Amino acid sequence: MKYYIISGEASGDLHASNLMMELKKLDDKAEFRFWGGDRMQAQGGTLIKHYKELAFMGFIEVLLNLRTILKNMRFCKQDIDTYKPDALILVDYPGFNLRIAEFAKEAGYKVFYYISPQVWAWKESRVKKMRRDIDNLYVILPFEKEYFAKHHIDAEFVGHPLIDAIEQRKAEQKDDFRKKNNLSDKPIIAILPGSRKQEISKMLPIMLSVEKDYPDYQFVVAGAPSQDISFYESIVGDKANIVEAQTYPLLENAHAALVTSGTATLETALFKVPEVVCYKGSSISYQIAKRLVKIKYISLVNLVMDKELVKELIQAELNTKNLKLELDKLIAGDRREKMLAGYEELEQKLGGSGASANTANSIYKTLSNEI
Amino acid sequence: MKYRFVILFLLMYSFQVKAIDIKVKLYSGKNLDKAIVTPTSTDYYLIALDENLEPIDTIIDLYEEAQGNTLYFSETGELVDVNRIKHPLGKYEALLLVSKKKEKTFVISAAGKERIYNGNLQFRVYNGSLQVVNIVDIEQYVAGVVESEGGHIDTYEYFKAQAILARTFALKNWNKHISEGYNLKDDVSSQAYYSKCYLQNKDNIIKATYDTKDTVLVSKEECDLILTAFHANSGGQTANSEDAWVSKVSYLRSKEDKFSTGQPSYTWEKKVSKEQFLNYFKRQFGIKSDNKEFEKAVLSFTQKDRKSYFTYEGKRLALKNVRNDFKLRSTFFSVEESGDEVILKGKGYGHGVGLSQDGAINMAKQGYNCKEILYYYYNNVELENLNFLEL
Repeated sequence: MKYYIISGEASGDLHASNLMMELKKLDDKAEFRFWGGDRMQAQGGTLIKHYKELAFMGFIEVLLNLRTILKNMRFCKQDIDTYKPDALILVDYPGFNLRIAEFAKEAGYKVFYYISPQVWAWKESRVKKMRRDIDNLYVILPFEKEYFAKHHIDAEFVGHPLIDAIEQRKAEQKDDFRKKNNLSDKPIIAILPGSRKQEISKMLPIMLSVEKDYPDYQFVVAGAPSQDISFYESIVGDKANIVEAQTYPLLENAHAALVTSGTATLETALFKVPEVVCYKGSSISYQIAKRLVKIKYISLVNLVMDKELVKELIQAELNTKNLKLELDKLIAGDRREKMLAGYEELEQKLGGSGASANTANSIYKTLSNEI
Repeated sequence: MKYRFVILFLLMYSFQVKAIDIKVKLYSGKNLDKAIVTPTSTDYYLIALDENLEPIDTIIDLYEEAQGNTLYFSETGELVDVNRIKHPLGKYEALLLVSKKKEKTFVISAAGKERIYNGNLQFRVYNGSLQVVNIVDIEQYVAGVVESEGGHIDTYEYFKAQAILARTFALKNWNKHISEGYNLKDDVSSQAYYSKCYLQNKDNIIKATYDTKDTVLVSKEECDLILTAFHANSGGQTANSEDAWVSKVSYLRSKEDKFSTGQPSYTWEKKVSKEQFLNYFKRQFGIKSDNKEFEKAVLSFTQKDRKSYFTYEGKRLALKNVRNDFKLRSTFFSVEESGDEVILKGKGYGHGVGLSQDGAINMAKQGYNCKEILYYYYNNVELENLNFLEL
């Protein structure tokens, strides 16, 4: 069958490539045409646009590249019409993909959406269009199925693809991470300060402020590919080592971690590294936001568990004293053990491994039944 | 429900990337040395900023103190001095007055004019004057522009069309003044924005703005935000972009406009001394002596359809220059002799390029919707909702 797949970010490339791998196992005549990246390319088929050409971050960049984005949108529709796929598979990247879904559904194509937009938290108005334009919706967080059911969408919970990605990473042949990065044998405390300049500037100095209290450990900062290494160096000095684009190898080797809230909190948990979640934003934004909603947790780990499995240090709570207090508990002892046990439960709640295979099975079955 | 708890996180994350605030310089064209600001409620913070406009500390929280909320800002050398009545609050590199809710309003008085706005206010000394910048949600800004630019006649579909044009203009010119620390000015050199939207037609203007939220006008050919030219009345025929300015723009083409005919600004007349008028034309064409043939050509100049030039023996004079020099309402005029005077009988008001406001209002009254109005006045364009870009 002919599959047209659209992903627009590095994570989408990863998850879509795993999905392609699973589809090939089921469908030996699978043909792919796609928007994605190197990992998808490695699975075969025709790459139309690389996500690096599509990744416009933030309002200003989007605005400055509006012409390119609109041209891409127009080209994509024409390309789908020329290729005439049996299935259009949209992977995350909702801004672009929901618009394509609208076109494709109207044009009579079968529309599958893998990794649903998080409309339950933001832009709920999109639900109505999703119900209209998407034939099969695959969700990756356990509570999303219930949410969509309330909106009369029969979404399928397939498990979280990070579990697949991490298992795949674990199975890979590995370099000696320490040797490659000139690291000593001391246990590693990983620091994941986020990927945006502003959050790194705000949080990294605080995260590093505890370094002197742990002479038996080495601190290693995960540098995001989007930031220049000199930017990290200007903040880190000689307090820690910096590794570039090696977050997974770093987590594999870490004893504990200090993590900026975001997907990284979930990845850290799935690598079974005890963590403290850190968040410090603009005090104005935070106070305005706080007046609007009641908050229980900010990390996906705690949200999925529906309890405080990992400690969240937010705004003023994120200080040297509290960080040291929490890090002490993570290095050894009962708190560490409880967290590690909780991570096993988390993995179960996230559906265990097989998100890509489950999605591929469902897509293939749906298409086979219709033929 | 669990998903609710994520909202705060996403809100915090998204404050910088999804909420679109525009920075508009207020009292453009005035060299301000002071401004008086009174929030209409107490829900404001006053925050000191450093020279990079990054927050340093909260000076006062007007939420906590109910009395004496008027703040006096003045330029003192390179710093901004701020006071409450009999209570100096200090001098700072820059200051930010932040509302806790975007619906909150404040009254500002400067250069002898009092105005009311939503959003936040930023003060600093720039090029020796007090620079006052309103940082406001783009949709609130758009509603303010629609009211300031043409909110006097209550026609809902026309308000929608104007809102789309105002938003398109703002986004197209986003970086116009970025080096000076803001996006746009509050006067007609950008778009008129003399207050928040609050006058008699506010309900329909605000509804029209939010009903077209995120929607902009894009040219099909260039796939880009359009130049949102508009004017008061076309005189029954719009003008080509190159007739008013220099560049030929594919979607700004002259066309017959029956909707402007007979509307409020459709016709005009102006009397000018015949001698002055003829001398002007002679100067432009380098004619020094009497030239009856030339004078006849000038005094009998007529336009059944819009012309761009007055032409004589292969030489030409752009009518936009005549309009400018005689301060005429439009270039779309004919000449009649009347004793020692000439009567310039004109049609339309403004440069004539793009949308005619009178025509658009007439279309809306006749039941046309905003899409039909915009597609009538701009060639080969389409509406795009930028919501899909997660702006």
